Parts: sequence; C-alpha cells; structure tokens
Amino acid sequence: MKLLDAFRRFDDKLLRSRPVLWVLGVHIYIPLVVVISIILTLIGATYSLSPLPRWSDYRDFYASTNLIMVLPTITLAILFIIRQVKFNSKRIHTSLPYTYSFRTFLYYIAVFAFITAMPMAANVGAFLRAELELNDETYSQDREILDNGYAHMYRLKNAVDNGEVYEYDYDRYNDPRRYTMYKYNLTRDSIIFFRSSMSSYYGNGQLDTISLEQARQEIRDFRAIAIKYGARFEHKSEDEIIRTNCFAPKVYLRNSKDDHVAYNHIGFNDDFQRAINYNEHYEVYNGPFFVGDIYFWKYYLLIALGIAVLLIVLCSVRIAHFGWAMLISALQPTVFGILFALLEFALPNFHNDEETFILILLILFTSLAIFVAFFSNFKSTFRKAYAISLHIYVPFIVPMFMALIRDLRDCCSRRYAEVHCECVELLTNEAFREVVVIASVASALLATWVFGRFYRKIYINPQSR
Amino acid sequence: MIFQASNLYKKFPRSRFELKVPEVNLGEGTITGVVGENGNGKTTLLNIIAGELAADGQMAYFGESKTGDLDWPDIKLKIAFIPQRIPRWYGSLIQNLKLKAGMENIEANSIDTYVDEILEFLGLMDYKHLKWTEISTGYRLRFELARVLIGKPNLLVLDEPLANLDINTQQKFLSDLKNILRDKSYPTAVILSSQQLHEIETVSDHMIFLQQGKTIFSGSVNDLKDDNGSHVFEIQVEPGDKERLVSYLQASELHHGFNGEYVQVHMDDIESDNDLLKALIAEDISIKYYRNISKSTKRLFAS
Repeated sequence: MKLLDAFRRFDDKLLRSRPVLWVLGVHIYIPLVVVISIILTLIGATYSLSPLPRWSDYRDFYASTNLIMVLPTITLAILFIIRQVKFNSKRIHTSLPYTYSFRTFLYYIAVFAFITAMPMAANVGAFLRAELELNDETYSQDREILDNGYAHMYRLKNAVDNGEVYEYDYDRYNDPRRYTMYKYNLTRDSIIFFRSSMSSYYGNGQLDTISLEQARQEIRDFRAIAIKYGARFEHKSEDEIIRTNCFAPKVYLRNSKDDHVAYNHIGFNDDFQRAINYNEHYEVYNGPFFVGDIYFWKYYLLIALGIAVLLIVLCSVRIAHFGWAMLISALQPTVFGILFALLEFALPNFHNDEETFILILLILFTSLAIFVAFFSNFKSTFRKAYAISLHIYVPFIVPMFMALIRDLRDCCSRRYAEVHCECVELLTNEAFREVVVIASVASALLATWVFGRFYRKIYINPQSR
Repeated sequence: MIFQASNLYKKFPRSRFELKVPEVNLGEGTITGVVGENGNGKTTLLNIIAGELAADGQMAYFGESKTGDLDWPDIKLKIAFIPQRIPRWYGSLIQNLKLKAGMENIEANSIDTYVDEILEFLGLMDYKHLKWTEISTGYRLRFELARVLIGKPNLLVLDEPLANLDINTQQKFLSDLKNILRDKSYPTAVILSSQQLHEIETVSDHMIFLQQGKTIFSGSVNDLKDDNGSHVFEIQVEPGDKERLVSYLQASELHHGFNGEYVQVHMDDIESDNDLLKALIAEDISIKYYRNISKSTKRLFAS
C-alpha cells in the first residue's frame, strides 16, 4: 500500500510538473518494461550452461518465454496506445500534439521498441551469460587442439561395401579405406593416419604421418582440453590408445551387423559433443543469440517505427479521418494488385518489363494520392484521408522506388545483355539494403515532421479545413 | 475589442443555406447572446467565431487589424469553445483539470490552489474526484467551463450551454458567467447561443437574432425596443378564454399575432406595463402568463 501511495504521489507530481511526460506515461510504461525485462533477463541468465545445453533445448526455452510474453506485450502496447488516444489533444483541447508532436513521436518509437523487444529479454539474459562464460578466442584455440587429437580418440565407421562408398560418396573414386587408416610404421616409429576433424568425420582431412611422440602429445593435449567440455577418460596410457586404434577394424561392410564405431576413447561423448556443438553454434551461427547481433536490432526497430507512425497519426488527426485513411491505405494495394494482374493478363511480354510496369503504377498511384490530398476539390474528409494515407505509405514508397530504379538501372544484373551498359557496382547488395533501410527510416521521420505541420494547419486554420 | 467581424458570409452549397451577418462586435467584459430558431445559423456563426469554420468577410481577434492574416495557432490558444456536445473526458475530473493547468505552464506548486479556486468558484469541489460517467450533464458543462477557464481564455464561445440543464442549473451557470467577467485580471468576452430567451437576455449585454441565416437584430439589449416606441406583450390565457381575448383585441383595434399558445399584442401608447393587464382582468379573462417582451428578442419570433 505504501508503494501504491508513493506511486500516486509521484503520479500527481508528474502530472503537475511535466504533463507531457505524464500523458506519455513515462512513469508507468518505462518502469514496467524495465522490470519485466530485468525479470526475463534474469530468467534467461539462469538457464544452466553446465552442462552446456543442446541447441534445440535453447530453441524450446526461447519459444516458451516468447510465447508467454506475447499476451503481456500486446496488452501493454494496447494500453499505451489507449492512454495516448485518451489524453490526446483533439479530445482534451490542449496543445500537446501540436507543440510536442515530433518529440512525442521519437518517444513513441522508443516505447514501442522496448515493449515489443520485451519477450526477447530472456534471450538477452542467456546471451549475456554466454558472453561472460564463453570465450570465442579460447574456444578457437581449444578447437584446434581438439581437432588435432580427435583422430586418435574417435573414429566412426566408414561404411563401404566391396569398395563402394555407402553413405558418403563424395570421393567414391578414391580408395575409401584410406579414410579409416590408422597405422603404426614400425620402421620409422611413426603413425600414418587419416586426420579427421570434429565437425567432419569424413572430409577435409588428409593422410598424415607423425612421430609416435607427437601422437602421444596430441592425445595428452586433447584429453587436457576435452575435460573442459565435459569429456571423461579412462586411465589408459597414450600408448594403449594408439595400440587400440592400430588394431581396430579398418573397413566396415555395408550390411555388417557390427554397428560400433571403430574406436572411441572419449567418455561422456554425448555431453562432450553437445558442448562442442554449443560453442560451434555460438561462435559461427550466433543461433538463438541473434539478440547480440546489431543487424537484428536495426531491422527490428522498423517494427517500432511503423507502430509509432500509426500512433502519432492517430493522435494528430480526427478518428473519422484516420478510419477513412486506413480504408484507403488498405484499398490502394488491392487496386494496385488488380491492375497489375490485369496488365499481366493483357500484355504478352509483361514479364520482360515487369519492373517498368510496377514503377509506372507506383508513380501513378503516388501522383494520384498527392493530387487528391493537396490539389483536388474533393470533399475535405476524402482529401485528409488521402493525405494521412500518404503519410503512412511514404516509408514504404521510398524504398520501393529505390529498389525498382536500381533494378532497372542495374547493368550488372540479368538485364546487362539487354541494356548493354557498363557494369559499375556502386553498392553491394548488402550496402544497398542498408541504404534502403536508412532511406526508409529517414523518410518516415521526415514525413512525420512535415505532416505534423500539415495536420496542425488543417485542424487549426479553418480556411484549410 | 476582443472580436470584430463585418460582412460575414457562409454558404453551404448542398443545403443552400446562407448565413449573412453584417457585423459582430464582442467587447471586453460583455456577454452576447445569439438567438433564433433551430437551423437558422446560430451554431454556424459560433463555429466561425471560434475558428472552427471558414467564412467570407473580415474578422479580427484581440485588437488586431481586420485586414491582416490571422495567426490561428495563437488565436486559438486564447479562444475557449464549448460545443453543444462536449467531448468526453477520461480519468478523474481533477486529474484532467491539473493536466490542463500543467499544459498551460502554470507553476507546479500553485496548480492545486489554482484549480481548487476555480472549482470552489464554480461549486464543483465535491465532485472533483468523480469521473465523467459519474456526473450529470449540467456538471459536465460546468467542469468543461472550469477546464477552459484554467487557460484564461479571452474569448468564450458557448454553443447552447443551457440545453439539457434544469432551470436552477441554468441560473447557476449564467451567474457563473457573470462572475467570470467580473474578473478583471484578463479581458474576456462571452458569446453564447441558446433557446432560453428570457434567461439569456437577462445576462446578455448584446443580442443577435438570426432568422434563416439573416440577421434580424444585432445590438444592445436596450436597443431592442422598436424605433417607433411600440410595446409588445405576450399573453397566455385559459383555453376557453382565447376567443374572448381575440375578440377583445379586435374590438380594441390592437395589433396582435400568434406564437403557438401565446398571443403577442402590439401597443403604441401605454402609461404603464399593466394597462393591458388591468383591461383584461376587467374583461374577466383568466390570464396564465403575461409579460412585456418589448425589450426581448422573443417578439421577433412572432408569426
């Protein structure tokens, strides 16, 4: 109760001293999102790394936390939207959106980014823990040592039948027996063996000859490192291991009932393999730790930006106009699609100039929207709805134009033969995508700033109504 | 002068309704009443003055020139428009009032006192923690008035504020308006429309009477009397006595007209307002209602 009273006092104080922040609910949504995110981060961080989990275990765990958080996230987002609409200036006759629209808009982006990212807090927790406990550099060094020694410690059967490679036929013309070779050369006191790596039992290896002492050393190193990753070893000497390997059957028949591996000196091999897989995924694929990837967040922010644009529009215009704008926004792509389909049906060579037709249609639709919104004598509500719809579409139209123009002007693409222009690669595909995203975000921000002034004009100046 | 307009003209092409108002002057500390039958342009005129509707003509707010461009964002900050249908509030009433005060940059420490003063002034203290749905229409109107007053508007535009209010609340509301204008700390003018002729004329300094979009009368309440000095009385008698009343008026050669159950009698020379009343009593006509409307726009409603 004391906490609730303290909150009420703070709420009242904020209402009086910072009314804009009060409407934005900074004292409600930010703490709520922060607390929930911290809890989820802690839950994610408590996910045990000892033994290291299977990658699929992680997926299941994240799927569960994300699923649980779907409803709270949607609820929180809706409550936030309702608050903004309830205390909106169009309804309470204050100057809130007029004076504060752009700052408010930036705040909306931040809030939606935090709210929608909430379910991924568990991923963040697990990622942070992995970051603290796992070391990429150490793993790389360990992995090298493990790969060096692996051929001495484990060899899977290489199933062949009468010289024919059974499962893995990538090298069927070579003698498959060489892949199972592990032989002691008495005359030179050396080991001739096929090196395999932990991720590839059959490939990428080569026949190698090392001294017996080096083989002993590789086994010692492997055991020392593998223990860190959950492996356990019997008290066998290095020589015993080498001896076992040399006498292990070298060739396995296709239909042999003997399904054992050639040799395996690694105890708790499953745990060991899981640990290696975990590290491998963590290092190479990033896996569920996509939250540590800046690219992910860059694209993820676009969702928050999209919702924020809709909300700022909703708060800046009359509900009826917003409703009409939504209808127009939904109908325009439909009409676009119908026209596109009709053209495809009517023109036999449509596919050759598909991009050109899309560009023409896009220019036509955009011009029509600009004309109706700003230069026509249609009914005021209709014009406003078109203007709002244009505001919503700008962040989509700009990248579409960019992509289409690039495609049409791309002399390095399949069109090269047709257009006979010089292939000058100004931007790589990846760089171009980056530019498109930046242009989309910039156009959304610019459109919101410009249309904010436009809404202010049409709703305040009676001559513009 | 808070607001000045001349040759206001607004046409609605679809309904072909035209509003023509030659002149509107709203001075500091004055109340102007706009009356007329339904659909005669009262709300249109108020919407134009409040900047909600565009119209032809010259307008000037707060002493500015009529010829210059209007700075609407600035003007609108000084206008408080209470439409017929008040937009709903969310949250508690006091919360909304504080929010408005905060938005008006009133110092945080003095907001409570300031809002309480307004609530006290309008007699709303007991209701401040209630929500919109928990108060009657009359209180909603007064809370809306409280909220617009927080912004210290220079022009109050009220569209049919007395509709849906009981007679006591009407009196209280009009009395509030008078009190607001007494506050000399900032200049204010009030323009309001209403069907409650008697009540509105009681508080108004000026009246505008609109009929089918045309201005039939615009000026001081004191100017309402006919130029030729004619007096107008409104009479209602028991249903059985109506024929006798009409016979008497015809016999006395008194010009008269009908407005529903009411009879309006025009007299040029009278010694006192009671002359006609005395004569009717002498004729043994049972009178239910008798009023001198010479100085009321009500006489303009006569058929």
